[in-house]
Amino acid sequence: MDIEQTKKEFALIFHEIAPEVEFHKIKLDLPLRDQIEIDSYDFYRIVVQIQKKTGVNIPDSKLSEFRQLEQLISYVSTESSALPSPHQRPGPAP
Amino acid sequence: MKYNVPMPSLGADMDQGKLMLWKIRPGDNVIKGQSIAVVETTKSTVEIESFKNGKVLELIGGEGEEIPVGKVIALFEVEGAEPMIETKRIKITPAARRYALDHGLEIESLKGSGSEGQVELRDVEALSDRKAPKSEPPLSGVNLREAIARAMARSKKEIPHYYLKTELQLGKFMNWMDEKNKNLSPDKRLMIPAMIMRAIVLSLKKHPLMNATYVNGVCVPMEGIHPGVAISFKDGGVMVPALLDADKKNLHELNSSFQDLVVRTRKGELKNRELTEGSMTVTNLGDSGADEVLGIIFPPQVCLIGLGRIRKAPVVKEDGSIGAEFVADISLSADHRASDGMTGARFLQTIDLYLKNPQHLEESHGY
Repeated sequence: MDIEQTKKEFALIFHEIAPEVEFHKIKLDLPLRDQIEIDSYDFYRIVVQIQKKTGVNIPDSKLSEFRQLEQLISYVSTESSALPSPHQRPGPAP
Repeated sequence: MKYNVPMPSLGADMDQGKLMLWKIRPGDNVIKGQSIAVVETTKSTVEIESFKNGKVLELIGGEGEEIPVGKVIALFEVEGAEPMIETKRIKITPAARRYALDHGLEIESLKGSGSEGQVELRDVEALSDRKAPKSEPPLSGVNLREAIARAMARSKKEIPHYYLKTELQLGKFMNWMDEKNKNLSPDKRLMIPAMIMRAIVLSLKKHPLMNATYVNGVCVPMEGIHPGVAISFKDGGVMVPALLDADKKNLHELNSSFQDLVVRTRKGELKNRELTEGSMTVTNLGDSGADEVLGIIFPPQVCLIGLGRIRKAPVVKEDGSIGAEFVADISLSADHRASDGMTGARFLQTIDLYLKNPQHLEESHGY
């Protein structure tokens, strides 16, 4: 998934989880938490949705290192490209 | 036998509730634990559960009506030989009612010196050594902010807090989280706050004096572990519903119950037990960027755990080397009438031990 596709997916996910956030106004190269108020539960739901939609599991230890949204988008884009195609992926543990 | 169903008290700061909706009708059979009505308090909309098995004879309270705590809202026919509870109507001023509730005095037992035996503020003050400050405002809170203000002011006035703080080293815990979540489906992903709560719950098993209430001069350990979770609203305010029977849940059950509690709190779909049975409180201000929280105890509880932001910081590791590591500050605010600093320090130490050895979070026993 390239960067633009990943951004579009993020916009949809943010709209679903935190509709009050205007995604297009977020400056991707500035710290996310300085721009929007989002708590750990909503952020957790965003991470879960990213995993569902892209297949990329973002480790908690990585998440705490990402301050700007562009870092997260770049990570998901890179990791999703490295994944086998959806029909080749093993299913998650029950 | 007939049984009067009263408007329940859903917290020490509740004088009355607004009956929003009846979920039963005359003639219905009701079982204990069944949701019978929806009541709006200053804090939330709450489902009221029946405490009895029985049959609905009459609905006395009307939908939309503001009803004082203790006033009869319905009449049930119940099994057994329990006598009908006659609700005694007490004439009492709002200030006197508030003072009595704040000081644990039973309103039904009060005798008033006012007109027609009305209980006045001076009557309840005379029953207590503690006099209400003359500057205290009228106590008829109508919103969440007022309810918080009242509970916190009461806490700071009455509870001799002591505070302890330590730094949690979370390197192993974060690695454990990564490993666990790698093998779980997205819907079962573990949340960091829920897993830290797991460490606190297991530690409370070992330190029952922290899982207690202090009422009328006596510290009473609670039978179950029902930690309150401070949940903030996007438009301001905070609520502290209890994660009921947290000690009886395994790791995954606690994770899903934690999320369910957040969702229902924001939707205003809490149950009355969740508002009244909190046995201690955990507040997490890490989301807001605060590194340290020194919280105010929510009476009649006797302690509060505050968690700060998880961040990387230089630490001296167990092998003596220095390096960047995940850390978070954890604080304990505790009631010195119920415990001393040594007990509190051991409690924090046990939490720290669980998070340094997170594999034990999967067990129901441990340290």
